[in-house]
Amino acid sequence: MIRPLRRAHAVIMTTLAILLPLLIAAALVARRAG
Amino acid sequence: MNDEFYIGYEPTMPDRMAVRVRAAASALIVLAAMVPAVLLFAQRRSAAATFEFGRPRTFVGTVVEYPYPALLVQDSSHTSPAVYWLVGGGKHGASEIVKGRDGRMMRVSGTLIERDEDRMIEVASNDALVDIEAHRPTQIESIRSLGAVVVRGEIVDSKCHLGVMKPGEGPTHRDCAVRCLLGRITPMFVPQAGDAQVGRLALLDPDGRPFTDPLDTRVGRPVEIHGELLGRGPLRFVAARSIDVDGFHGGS
Amino acid sequence: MSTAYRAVGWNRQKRRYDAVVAAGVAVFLAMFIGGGMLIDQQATIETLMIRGCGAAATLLLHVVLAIGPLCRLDRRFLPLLYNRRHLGVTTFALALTHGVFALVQFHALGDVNPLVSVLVTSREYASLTDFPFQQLGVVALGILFLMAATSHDFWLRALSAPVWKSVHMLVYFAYALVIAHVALGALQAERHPVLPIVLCVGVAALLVLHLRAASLERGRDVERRLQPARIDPAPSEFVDACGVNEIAENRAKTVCLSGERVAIFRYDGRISAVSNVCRHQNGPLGEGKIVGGCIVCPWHGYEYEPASGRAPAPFTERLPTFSVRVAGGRVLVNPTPHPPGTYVEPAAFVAPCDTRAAS
Repeated sequence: MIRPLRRAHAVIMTTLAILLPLLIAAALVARRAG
Repeated sequence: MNDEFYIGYEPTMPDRMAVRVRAAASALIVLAAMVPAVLLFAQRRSAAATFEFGRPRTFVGTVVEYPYPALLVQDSSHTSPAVYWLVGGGKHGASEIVKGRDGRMMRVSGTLIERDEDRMIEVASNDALVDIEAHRPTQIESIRSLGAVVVRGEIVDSKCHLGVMKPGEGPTHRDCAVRCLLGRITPMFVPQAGDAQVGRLALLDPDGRPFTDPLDTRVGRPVEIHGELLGRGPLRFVAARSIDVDGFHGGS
Repeated sequence: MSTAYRAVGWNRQKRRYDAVVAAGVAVFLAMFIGGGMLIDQQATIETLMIRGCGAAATLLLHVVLAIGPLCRLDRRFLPLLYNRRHLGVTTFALALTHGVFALVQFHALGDVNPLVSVLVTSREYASLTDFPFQQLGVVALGILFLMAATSHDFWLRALSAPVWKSVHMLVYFAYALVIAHVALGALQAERHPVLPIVLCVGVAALLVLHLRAASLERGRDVERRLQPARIDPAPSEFVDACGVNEIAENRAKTVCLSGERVAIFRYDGRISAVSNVCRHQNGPLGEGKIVGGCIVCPWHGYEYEPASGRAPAPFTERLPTFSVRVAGGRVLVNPTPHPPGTYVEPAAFVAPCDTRAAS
């Protein structure tokens, strides 16, 4: 079960490493002024 | 490599491990103290507003039924009566309670909500309003126009904003504001800081009538309103011809 | 280990663990709520409770997710991992408090059932700044509930380890939802730069920890990868795994054969080889130790007999075993595993004078 689990971790963390910073940046940029 | 080995269900652990674990536990406790301090530092201060929950008072004044429920309380030291908006319990307005009572002088028991010069009374039920005998209903003057206005600020539900909730405005409070407006609590326009030309105004639709549209996409966000300033006695309203969300850019 | 129908097996370690967790939560909430009321005289306790519990849950979730990679990087953090599920359940409890308070505050006493209200009041899914962030929180809370509810070993057996682990991998999805809930919620209302900075530090810390743990593990695998004498070894081919002296007494050396890890144990003048993967939660058995005649997994203490790969009665876990031979001071292993629980005669060796493995 090791390989599928480590693969799952790799896929998940790669996705989060791309998505989360993008999301936070987008949320900050999209904020309304004032 | 040293031979220490830890099995979780044993009561003690090897020393080198214990040192590390103690250090980690201490670090976590320190984190638990520091992170909230940092977060508090970042929070906006709450508004100076009160909700006298659990401490009802009695007011005497003239009931206003339309466009939105209110009580005009004559204070002997002022020429013009003080305005107290009326609202029901929970997320409900007072329209049913004041129905058919426009112009009547009544004794009102309720809870005071206050923010700056704007005041509101939460009344629990019909029985909170008691007629004062030997007073005929007076005629409150009808609604008159006070000119066109263009204002920038935010639409809120008056009850939360004036003191029942903090914050009672903004995007995180929006769901509650929509719920309150759907319960027929008076919608209110709040001018942005620095815009001193108008105070808080109860919001009316383009025809000068209470909003039936839940306004949900225009509540809790910066808006620019083109409309007409209206008055009824000392009450002030804005009848919104157009409400533009993000109608302006730039800083507050 | 707890068996199927026993409730939590309390011991001293668990009590201390829980005491530290409780202290941490108490300190956090006292600082946030108490400090909040001191700094801001006009603040309302409901708002402070909602924010405090939410922030505490978010911080705790970061701690929970950091423990896994930390233990890969330094084995001395293992005691934090052993009772990690207590942290998870606490995270859920804090998140639930946050959710219930927020639900009551913003959706109760209206014209609609609060549980319906939270799902229908905001619907602007096409927008980022107006996105219904509350619903992201609802889903995250649901996932945390699912994991708290299945955190007991009973569910590990009932669902089987692979299914249980897959369910618990959802924690990463819950984490993403929580970050989105904060970014599209609180960050839209609060302007102070400290808030996004704290959030980014948390996300970055977790990503860096996972990355370092991953590269360390890959390095270890490369280190252990063996080149067989021929490119395509026949199924009965034995591969030179390591020297007998490289294994410490009652310990193991982990090697990578045919893409899977094998733990080679040395004990009482004998060598046995079993799958490195513990049946419980895939702990690295090769990092374990032989205690009282059984291999003990370093993560949760699961035991297996080295020669047969079977857990001692009444437990029923079984590991795949591997045939071993010793020749000229070298351990030779057949990469083809036997079915789980197969007895393999341990390979005997004559211990040279110096049996201590070099560190």
